[in-house]
Amino acid sequence: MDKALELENLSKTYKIGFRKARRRAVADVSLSLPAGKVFGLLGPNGAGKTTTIKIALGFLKPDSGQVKIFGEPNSPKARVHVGFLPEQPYFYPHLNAEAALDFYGKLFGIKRAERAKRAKLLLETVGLSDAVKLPLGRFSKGMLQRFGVAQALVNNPDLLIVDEPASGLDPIGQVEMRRLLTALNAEGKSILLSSHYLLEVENFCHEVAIMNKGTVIARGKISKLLDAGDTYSVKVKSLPKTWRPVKSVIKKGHINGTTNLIVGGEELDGLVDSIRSSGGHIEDVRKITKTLEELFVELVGASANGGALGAG
Amino acid sequence: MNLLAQVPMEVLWVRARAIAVNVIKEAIRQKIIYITVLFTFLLFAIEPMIPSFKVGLRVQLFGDIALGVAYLAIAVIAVAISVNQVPKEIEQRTIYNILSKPVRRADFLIGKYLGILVVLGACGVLMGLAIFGFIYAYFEKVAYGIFQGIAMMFLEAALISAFAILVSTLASPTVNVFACILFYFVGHVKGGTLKYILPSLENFNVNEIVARGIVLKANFVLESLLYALAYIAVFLMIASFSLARKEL
Ligand SMILES: Nc1ncnc2c1ncn2[C@@H]1O[C@H](COP(=O)(O)OP(=O)(O)OP(=O)(O)O)[C@@H](O)[C@H]1O
Ligand SMILES: [Mg+2]
Repeated sequence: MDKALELENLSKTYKIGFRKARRRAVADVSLSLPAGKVFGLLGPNGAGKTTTIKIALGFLKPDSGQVKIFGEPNSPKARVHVGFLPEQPYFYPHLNAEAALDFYGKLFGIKRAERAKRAKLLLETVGLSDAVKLPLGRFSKGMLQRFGVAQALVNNPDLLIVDEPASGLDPIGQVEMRRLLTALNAEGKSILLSSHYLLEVENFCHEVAIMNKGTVIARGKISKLLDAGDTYSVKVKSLPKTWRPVKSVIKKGHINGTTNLIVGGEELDGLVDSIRSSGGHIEDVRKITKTLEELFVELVGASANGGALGAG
Repeated sequence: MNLLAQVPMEVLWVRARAIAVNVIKEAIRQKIIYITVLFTFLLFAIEPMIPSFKVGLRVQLFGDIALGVAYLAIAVIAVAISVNQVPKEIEQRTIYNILSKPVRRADFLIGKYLGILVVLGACGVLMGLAIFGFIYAYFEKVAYGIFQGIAMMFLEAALISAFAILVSTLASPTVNVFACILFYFVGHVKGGTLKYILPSLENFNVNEIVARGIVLKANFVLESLLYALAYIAVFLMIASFSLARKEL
């Protein structure tokens, strides 16, 4: 399958000031985004997500490693197919939304009539139709974020790179953003997204890499990462007192007349049979997965002191 | 070259022009330009009140002094609008929205510079018209020669601006202003070692000559133009190189 973006063994150490104090931000990060997929870059503050993205777009030169956009090194030509929403985006305050989109359209060499058409459509798409003539300097944080997405889509990119798209958005805005990104992906756009809002990626990314302190500490399909092993939770209403717990039941909680039993997969059938024969009413059986939060805390905690996490 | 084959020249021009137009739009909102221009007009207006104006020499003296004032004013404007173009884009992070698109860092600088040139040109024309108008009003003389002086000071301002753009890729706007002042003074003072590296700006000072109504020789104008262009090209090339290496 074609790759929309490939990052190979990227490393970056910032050198600060005249003394060239060094600060390692990214160490040997590789990731590959198949065309048409959504890749989530997760990690706590300072993990190196933004640095990785900046290297991918050529704002920073990596100390080592390489970047390929649709199989080519970064160049103006490669960037024709890329859309980028920076972290905390900011735009020329004196331009209104429409004029600014027109400006960004010009940078792609898009013709005037087409620019006008896209500006209107995009501002509608991101929910800014009522702010078309408002100078960007008067935009709220969330509005800037929305405009940032419109701006990133002005060239109808095949690869969309978004750095914390949900930050600054209210809960409804976050849901809308997720819906928009899902729709864009459904159109066939490949998306690289960074986030520490776990909810943002949980049901959405095909694959994630979890970063901490500049390195990728876990990667893969979310369902795999969240798999807690072959364990099931069984909720039972009005479990008779006469029922005796089978050996394999791991845990038992009791809330409002509902008993929660946890059992290994090989014992599940036996447990269900025994509950039913004793007259209990099974409400719910589900495979236990970790939440992304739990995984995060587990992984980041294991690689020591990850800092505060936004839990979405 | 391969690169140009990939991105047609005309598209590069469209990009540079878009960036230039934005520089102009932004400049229109900058008070310092209006203040400087108005201040020069005010000086033109009160100039004839200087008592030492000798009869007969008055027109020349007026033209010379007015051009001198315009000369300084346009240099001030050149510095004021050039030092912040690049640093502001970086600081406000607006540069990310430009350089993530098919715009090379050199295109970005060229666009900025072209925009600045248009603003400087407009200021020069305004000041030229003002001086021309005052001479006509006070002395009833038609002094087209003034515009030769304006053209030469435009070249100088263009040079100063290119220098400011170059320094802006390396240093803060404050440091840049001091560098520009130094550049200006070294350029106008004869002698000194720096004189052999930095351009001699005094070459562009023809105020006294044109005020006397003398027409500049075509050779001289062409030489000055090439002299300015050569320095501008070198400054912008170093600026591009410096910006290309910059971590954003
Ligand atoms: N310009 C810079 N100079 C020096 N160090 C930097 C610079 N930018 C980032 N860093 C450092 O690099 C590390 C990674 O930062 P980065 O911005 O990539 O993190 P992030 O994962 O995007 O975090 P967040 O979730 O807060 O946006 C941090 O330790 C940070 O202090
Ligand atoms: Mg970040």
